[in-house]
Amino acid sequence: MTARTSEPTAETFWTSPRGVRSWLLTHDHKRIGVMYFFSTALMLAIGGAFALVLRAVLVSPDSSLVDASTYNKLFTHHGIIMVFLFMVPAIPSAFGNFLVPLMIGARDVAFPRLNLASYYVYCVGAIVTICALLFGGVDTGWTFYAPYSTTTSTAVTMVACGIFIVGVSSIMTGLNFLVTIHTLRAESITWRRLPLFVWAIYGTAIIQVLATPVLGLSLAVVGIDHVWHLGLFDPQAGGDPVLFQHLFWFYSHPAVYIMVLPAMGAISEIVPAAAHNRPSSYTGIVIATAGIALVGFLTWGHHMFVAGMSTFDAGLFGALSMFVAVFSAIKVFAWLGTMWGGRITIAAPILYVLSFVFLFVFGGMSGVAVATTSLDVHWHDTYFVVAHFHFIMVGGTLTAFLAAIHFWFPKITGRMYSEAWARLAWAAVTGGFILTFTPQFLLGNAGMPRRYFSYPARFQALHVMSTVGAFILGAGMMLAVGYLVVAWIAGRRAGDNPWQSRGFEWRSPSPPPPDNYVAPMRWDTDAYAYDDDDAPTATTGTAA
Amino acid sequence: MNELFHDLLDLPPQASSMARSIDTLHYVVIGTAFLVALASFAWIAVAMVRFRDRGTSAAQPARRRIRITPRRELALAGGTLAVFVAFWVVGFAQYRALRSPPDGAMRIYVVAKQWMWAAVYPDGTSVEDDIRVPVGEPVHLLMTSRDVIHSFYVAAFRVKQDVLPGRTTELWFTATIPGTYDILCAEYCGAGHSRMRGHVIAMSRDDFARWLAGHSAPSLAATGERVAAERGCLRCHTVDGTPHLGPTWRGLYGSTVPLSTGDSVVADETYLTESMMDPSAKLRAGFPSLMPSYQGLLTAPEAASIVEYIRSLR
Repeated sequence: MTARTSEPTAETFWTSPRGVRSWLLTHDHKRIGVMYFFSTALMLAIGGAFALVLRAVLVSPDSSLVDASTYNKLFTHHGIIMVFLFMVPAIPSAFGNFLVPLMIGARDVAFPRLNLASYYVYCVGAIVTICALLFGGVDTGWTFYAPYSTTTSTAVTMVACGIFIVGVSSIMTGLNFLVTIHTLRAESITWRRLPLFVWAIYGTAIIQVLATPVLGLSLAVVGIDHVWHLGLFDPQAGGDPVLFQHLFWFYSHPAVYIMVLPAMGAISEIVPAAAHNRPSSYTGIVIATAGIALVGFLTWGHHMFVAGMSTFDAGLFGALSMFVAVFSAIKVFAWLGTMWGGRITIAAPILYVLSFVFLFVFGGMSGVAVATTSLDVHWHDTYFVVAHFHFIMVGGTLTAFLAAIHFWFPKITGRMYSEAWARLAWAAVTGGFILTFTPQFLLGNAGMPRRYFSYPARFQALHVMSTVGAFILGAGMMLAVGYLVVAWIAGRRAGDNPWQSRGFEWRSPSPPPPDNYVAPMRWDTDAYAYDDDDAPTATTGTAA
Repeated sequence: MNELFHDLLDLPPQASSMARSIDTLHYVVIGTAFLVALASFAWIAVAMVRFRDRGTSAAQPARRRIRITPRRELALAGGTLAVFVAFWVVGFAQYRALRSPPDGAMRIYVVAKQWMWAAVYPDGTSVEDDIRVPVGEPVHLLMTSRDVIHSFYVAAFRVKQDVLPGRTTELWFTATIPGTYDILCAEYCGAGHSRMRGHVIAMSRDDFARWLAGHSAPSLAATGERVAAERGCLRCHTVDGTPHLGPTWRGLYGSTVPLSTGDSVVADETYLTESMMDPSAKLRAGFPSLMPSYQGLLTAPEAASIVEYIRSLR
């Protein structure tokens, strides 16, 4: 059995081995996860700063803060940074790297060197993408619609290169997880006992490996077209601009599930651990994960109901989109069922789950609304769509990311943050979020198109509300950074398993030693074995 | 009920024949979304109070577990799917209506470019940014772009359609209330995107007829006849019904054309424009693939005028 508590002197992955060089050349999945975490968090900060500038501009119908071209570049880079440099890698590459081996009883991922390489490839891609700003940036929107993207004079080729490189990193990570989950599970951790977070990462990895090459292809073609004018998407040369949209969304819709599946996986771990209750439907969540990963490939056309697609195609893609929504609903039912009748630890992680479920359910249902063909005609490319996908990506993924940080912080650092400050930040983030994006639903209803630098004055009141909310949300995030940094340096020792979770990842010391375990482990009790847990003070973390 | 939800949701005026029914579906879908989200939130909030960890206190409710059995799972998923399918059925019926211009609708050709809307009526009247239409009459827009993709959006009518270079897309509406309604470009098109605004001005039939009469110009069909002669179209296409190197134009519009692939297609505005720009895409059976593409050679208004000319040859 493992050490029950980590003495301050115990060897952890943080300090063993020592030295900057040992970090930069590490093969340890935990260190790589931590490096991914800091890199993606930095991207979140940059993307968030862009968002606040955008919101400041939109306070006035005709802002004098920046000009229209600068505004267009700001929203483009906000989207690119948040989607490709934060959302896609954040949970899989940071938490996935840290947790997957611990959750399957492995000492590392299958290809530790590839793992490190994927991190550096990500860094190169991120640097290229960000440095494009020094060359004037790009103004196409993160969707790069042709023929605008092939004719604009901005730095399209460089950004396309950057995202292409990040995509390579994403494929490496996905492959690594697939092989790891197949080959490195401890003998008794069978597929039917695999933790739900690992299932989520598995589903994500399938999408990363299958869909990312198509994104690479379409961005490569846009980049090449921009330089050599191939005309593949240019009707003057016999090309078809709608073809680009099909290629782009063939990746970018499944990419939404790359962003949201790991978030769902984190929630699926936190809910049973916080409620001390077995998931009300483990199989349901697994089937729904597979359903989302596979049917998610067949819904891309719902981005194109007014793009000039045939009526039949629109109906078909609309119907398929409804099926994906049912799989998400199955997960929500399972979370709700798990919460009922357990013994719930009221703390920051479960508060974020509370926010997540409300925001994700409304965001998801607003997705069903925009998949309803006739309603989408009015909402398409308006602020309604902006509000919808921010409910999923911020209300869903970012909230789950925060839940994951607060849940696994003691696992990763061995320390605990201040619960009072955490609740204040939770209130600011949730309240700020709702105030930011609810007015945007109404703006969309009222007919305000997205990507507008200036707008008719009748939309101003709702824009002002949204901006106030965004700054509250930003303040909440900065507060969270503040107390988490303090806790990381000087927080109280949390012990190995402060949540009394039965999850596999909690059975090693917190923070784990370099090789994850100090003694041979047994995995014959389930990761959700709470049935016999009637004494609230019962210490867990015992595997034997 | 309509007014309450309409104001609550901040919707624009319902100024077209389709707006009211689309809004009704909107209320049902968004109402359902909000109630379901609220119910989920309430469920967790109640669970957090009832089942919170009370330490060692005896007041802790006994553990129980809701097991979602496969049978329950199917019932939940099936119920959810049934609700979504109901949305789909009603929505898709409305969508099909939105995409099917009624016969005899008044045609207006729209050309979008960075960053303005131009339109030309069959009688040759051309306007910029302000498109006047009669109230109570279906209006059929045939739209193309001169540069990048734009999107024609009139929120008060609940209609939107992307406008593409090299292709004709269609949109129709019947305005029901006289007034001035914004046309906003809804597909990002560059620096001037947010200022690419125009208006649809819905007028009574009499006012509209008076306005149109005051703008006499050579009719679009007459322009088309001139353009067809100048561009050499008539060297291969006849206008008297006899086939030549290409199919005759007389009686072509609205007819069903057999294609070399064995399919057939109705010769409407979209097909005729496509045949000018990409002649081999849908080649008529029995004719060789001789015709060059007029992409870039004919402007959008010229192409529209030729369509109107062909249409007049019945």
